[in-house]
Amino acid sequence: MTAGFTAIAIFFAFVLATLVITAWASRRARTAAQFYAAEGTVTPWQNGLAIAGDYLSAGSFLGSISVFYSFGVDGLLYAVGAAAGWPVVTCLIAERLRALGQYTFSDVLARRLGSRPVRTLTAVSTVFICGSYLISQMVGAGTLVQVLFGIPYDAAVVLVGALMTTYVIFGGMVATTWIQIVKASILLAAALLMSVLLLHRFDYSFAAVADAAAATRADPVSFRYPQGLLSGPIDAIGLALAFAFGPGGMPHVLMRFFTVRDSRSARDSLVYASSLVVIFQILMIVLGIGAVALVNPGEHFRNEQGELIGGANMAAVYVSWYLGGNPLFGVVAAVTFATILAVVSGLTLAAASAVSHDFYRHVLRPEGATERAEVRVSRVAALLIGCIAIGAGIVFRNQNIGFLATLPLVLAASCNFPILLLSIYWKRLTTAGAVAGGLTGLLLSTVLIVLGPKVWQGALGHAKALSPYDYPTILSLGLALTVAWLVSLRARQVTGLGGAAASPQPLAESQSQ
Amino acid sequence: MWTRLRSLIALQRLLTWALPGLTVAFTVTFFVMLVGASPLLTRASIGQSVSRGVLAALAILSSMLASVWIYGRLTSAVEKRAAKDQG
Repeated sequence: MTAGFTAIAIFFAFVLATLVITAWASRRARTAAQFYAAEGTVTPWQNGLAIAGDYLSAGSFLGSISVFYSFGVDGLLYAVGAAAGWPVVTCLIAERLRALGQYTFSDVLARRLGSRPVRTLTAVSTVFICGSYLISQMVGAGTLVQVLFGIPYDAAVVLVGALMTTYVIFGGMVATTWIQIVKASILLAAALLMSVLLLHRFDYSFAAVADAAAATRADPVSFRYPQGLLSGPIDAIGLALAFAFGPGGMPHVLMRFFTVRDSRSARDSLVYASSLVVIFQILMIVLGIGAVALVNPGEHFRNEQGELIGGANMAAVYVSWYLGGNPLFGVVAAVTFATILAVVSGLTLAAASAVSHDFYRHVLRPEGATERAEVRVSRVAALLIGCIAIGAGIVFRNQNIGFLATLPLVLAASCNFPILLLSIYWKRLTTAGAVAGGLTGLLLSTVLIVLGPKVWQGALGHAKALSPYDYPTILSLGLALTVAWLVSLRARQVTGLGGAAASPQPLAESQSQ
Repeated sequence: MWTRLRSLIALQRLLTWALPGLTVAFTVTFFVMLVGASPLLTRASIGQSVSRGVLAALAILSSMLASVWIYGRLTSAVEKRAAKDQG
């Protein structure tokens, strides 16, 4: 079953609106400051909406509800976890980052540590993190367009990839910020409307919604027990740490602190952003359990074998049809698509900035790169990253979006977060320590995730996983911090002061003076 | 001399680390309890027990939000007081 005319008309209206915003923004993205950071002209409230928009991705909307749909109360882990990173970012990172950076968080590290090695590491980690985040978005977008128009999944992924690359190449930060603001507002409003409609159907009793959801299972009592999303305490702690520390290392979120005027605006942005994220996650709890109650026993959107078309990943969109018919289905499908486009644009921009600003300008051409050449490299990088995202979206087509969306959090919590935190607060960190620690965290987390059950068995089709953990954060973060500490102490013993490029003063102190 | 500004700064420095620390501790505890089939989710009717799990989740979400707001207000108070003392 594909969507009706109303749903498709609303969908195209949304895509057209985002293209108009991009065309308008392209006239304001000529210099590097405009392209990367919107020249610091975004207000705290606008930036708060944009940060929330960055975070409320396909992983948050489609992913959270699909986890509830597939794993019952295990979905509460995603609802709580999605808000866990904000106090960490607000209290420990945001203000200091804004006070010391220019366009990317690498600028902050480079102020204290050796610029070339640190920028090379952060460029690599940013491409890894944003690339892995793009996978979940592409899978969500591909499945959505497939369901909406009845076209093949591969063609849908190519279409989405082409659109999102257009946004970044022409619009830059101004476009992605405004698309995020519009999309976050509409997504929150749609989720609120759906939650009210759902609770109204059950006489505003949440226990009745949960009872109805449990009644759809063969064994209703099992609904209140964990359904196997996590294999044990190591994975549970690993996922919790990824949620708590991951946002503090996500390049596309950190980049948003440079779009506001000063540190105070960055802090205010986060207060607004975290409020919106918490409200959204509460709505996801209601809608997630509601999706089990309504979509699970329903007969619509099923193929000849009786399976849900697009799998559990589409449960969030289907529940809107059960609540409001084709008009609400159209709005929710369009908002979900706009959500993915906006997040993908932000991610691609962050990855492209890492290549052009950190690697091309500061490592390859430290003396001779013009701003125009840098923006050109950024646009070429966006095109290449878009092509890679399309390929990855096709490979990971059958994976749960909720799981895919947590992978970049593990990488960010294992690489960017520890070196950023140590560079701000630990005066004995050296360039060698930061690079060794960051590289250890990035490589270990990547290797263990790939060898773990969900990727090695689930996505790549091997008979047995080579690592027992899907969320190895406790190992990779712990080892990254240990290696950074040991190498820094060792480097200080060898050189006497920790390397010529490293300043002994932590950034937290340099800011306060 | 122990001024009002110094008290605010001391409190702010304490909360800078305490609030994220408590958040991480709450989150890890909630995750381990949920995965370990906490008693919170195994009493009363199914709907009521799920609602209790949801209430626990809401309590943690609210505490996270409150910590961000408290930190924001406190830091603004420190900045205002410092500006007042200087000027």
